[in-house]
Amino acid sequence: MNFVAPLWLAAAGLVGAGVLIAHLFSSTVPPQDVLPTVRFIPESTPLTVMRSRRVSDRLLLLLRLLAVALLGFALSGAHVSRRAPSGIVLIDASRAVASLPLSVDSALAISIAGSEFVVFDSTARRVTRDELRELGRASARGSLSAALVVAHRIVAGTAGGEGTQLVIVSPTVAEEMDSAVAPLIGLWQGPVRVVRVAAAAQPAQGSWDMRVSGDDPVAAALAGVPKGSGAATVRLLRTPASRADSQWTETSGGVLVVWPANSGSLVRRAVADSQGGIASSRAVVVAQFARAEQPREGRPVARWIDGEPAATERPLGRGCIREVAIPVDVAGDIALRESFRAVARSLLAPCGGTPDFTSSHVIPSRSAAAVIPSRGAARNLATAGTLPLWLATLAALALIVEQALRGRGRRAA
Amino acid sequence: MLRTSAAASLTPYAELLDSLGGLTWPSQVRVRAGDPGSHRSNRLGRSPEFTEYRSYRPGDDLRRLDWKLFGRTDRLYLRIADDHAALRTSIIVDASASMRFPVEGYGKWEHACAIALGLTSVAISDGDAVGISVATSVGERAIPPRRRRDVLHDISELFRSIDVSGEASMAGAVERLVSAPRLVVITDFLGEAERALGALRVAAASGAEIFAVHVVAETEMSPPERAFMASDPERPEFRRAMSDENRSRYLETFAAWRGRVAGELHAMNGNYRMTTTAEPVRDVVRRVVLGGAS
Repeated sequence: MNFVAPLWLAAAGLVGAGVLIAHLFSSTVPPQDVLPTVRFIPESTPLTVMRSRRVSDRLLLLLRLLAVALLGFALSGAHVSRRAPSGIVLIDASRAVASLPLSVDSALAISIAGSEFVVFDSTARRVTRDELRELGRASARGSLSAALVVAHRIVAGTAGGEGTQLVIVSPTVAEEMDSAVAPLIGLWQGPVRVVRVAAAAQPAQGSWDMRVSGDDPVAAALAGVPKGSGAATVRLLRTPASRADSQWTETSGGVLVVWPANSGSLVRRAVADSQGGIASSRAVVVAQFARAEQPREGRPVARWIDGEPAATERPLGRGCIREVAIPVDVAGDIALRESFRAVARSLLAPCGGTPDFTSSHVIPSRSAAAVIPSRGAARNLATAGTLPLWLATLAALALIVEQALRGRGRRAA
Repeated sequence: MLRTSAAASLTPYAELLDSLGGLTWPSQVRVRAGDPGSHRSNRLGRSPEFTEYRSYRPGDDLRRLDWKLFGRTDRLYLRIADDHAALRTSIIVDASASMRFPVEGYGKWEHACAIALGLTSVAISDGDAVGISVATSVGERAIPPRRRRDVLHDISELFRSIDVSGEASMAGAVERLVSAPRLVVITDFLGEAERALGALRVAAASGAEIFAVHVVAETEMSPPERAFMASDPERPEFRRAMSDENRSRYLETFAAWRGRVAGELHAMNGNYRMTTTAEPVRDVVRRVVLGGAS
């Protein structure tokens, strides 16, 4: 058992000794009672104060010592240290992986005895060696930082974490990198090894179609976008959506873009106002838009300049519905601007956004890790775990029982 | 007849009052002339109840001459009959904190109240007027002497309204009732005992019949056989330790003090009755009115 702050243990020892001494040399004042004829008790009798040379109230003493010891252990951050695993293998199971069985084979081949396995897509979880064969590739985007956090949690509170090897089995594509990846790898104390596996092929732009009535500015904006061949994977509606559209989305896995030409089809805002621009992942449009409606709850795919979603996406069956609350004036020239056309094109992306499977490098950043100010304290807290909390709870219970016993003793007296 | 509400307030005492039916409380001496009652008066009167003849002396009231006897004997005799008068009874009850003992359950105060009601019932049955005075820490609470039976209810209600606490001046109450023909004091004598006894001595010298009912708790007679710090309920800061070593000395001192109080009362020709809370109230009342062993 290790301690984060052993000084508290020494303090608890001192308090415990004091309690023991108090029980050895305690004086007992007899209980008080009313007696109207007290005047007839001989005056010369001294107050009955009995000194005990033996340990008195042994049960109470035991409870008090137990409470003090538990509090001491709790405050000193007692914890049982586990042995860190020899290695941690992070296996990418996101959509970016070309073949997950091949990735698993690579992971098993390169893992050393006693390794832990972490599988990640948009989230990360620990799996056993046996479970690896049953994994399936996810359609979600990968997040390497989520997997790194799980790896850090595994080695937290263990002894010998500095020797744990971190193996990343992933195509390390751009879409699964974020700003936390480099610092998290920089924090890793052991060796880091990246096993790059084949990335999935970048999906081709799917075909799309559009349903409009009459002259439509959005149709004009998307006029230059090739519609592709074969069955459509994206359906943009400028007219009200029907039941058939929803069924198509559920069964085909396509994207249904609901972008009503007329107001009144979406959720009306409490206060209508105007905004000076829209931003999507690809472009920014600076122009004045009247904002009277809003899309329903979902993942934002375009925002107004005040941060509110202008378009959201929510899953429906195998596909998704994308609601766009951007009014386009027929009379203006906004639809013809290149920035607006870029925004409109971004709304035709597949569910979850356009995959970006371009290769990226995993570069550990020690300097980025150093900006985390409470690195040591965080490690200590993580090391202590929940054991001190349980110890403190047990100490409180012991004190409650001690109080109850003391009260019963008084009543009996 | 008692009112319905009055009867309800006396329900706890019903058994006691019932058991005292037929009991009388005769005066030990001839009482002074007054309202008609059941006690022999110190004045000879003209009641139909014949007592004796006496020879006529000049100055006697001619209306009391027995003319029939004069016709037969040719001598002048006066027809003499005893006069009967009522005896006003005043009962003083101590409501100091020492009377609230034991604190829980039936204690000295409850015992004293029952005794007072029992004595009142007997006195009223004799046709005597009974008044009650309760000495409390905030002064005296009193009901003036009355002969009507519903005074029992009023006394019961008065007892229920009393806050038994603090120090009460029994001596003051006795001093105010020093002229009462019959004075009953129900107390534990743990307050100003000397002053109260002095006032009783004055009352006795004035010709009053004195009855002192000394109420003692069983726990006072036999304290718990364990060590404890005893405190005076009237003066909580006054504390002494009771232990196995000094229990016997306590009992001796307490008994000696009771003997001295009894001696003082006997010396003033008073009636001293000691009772513990364990004694049935009926027996206490009988001992008081019939003059049983003290």
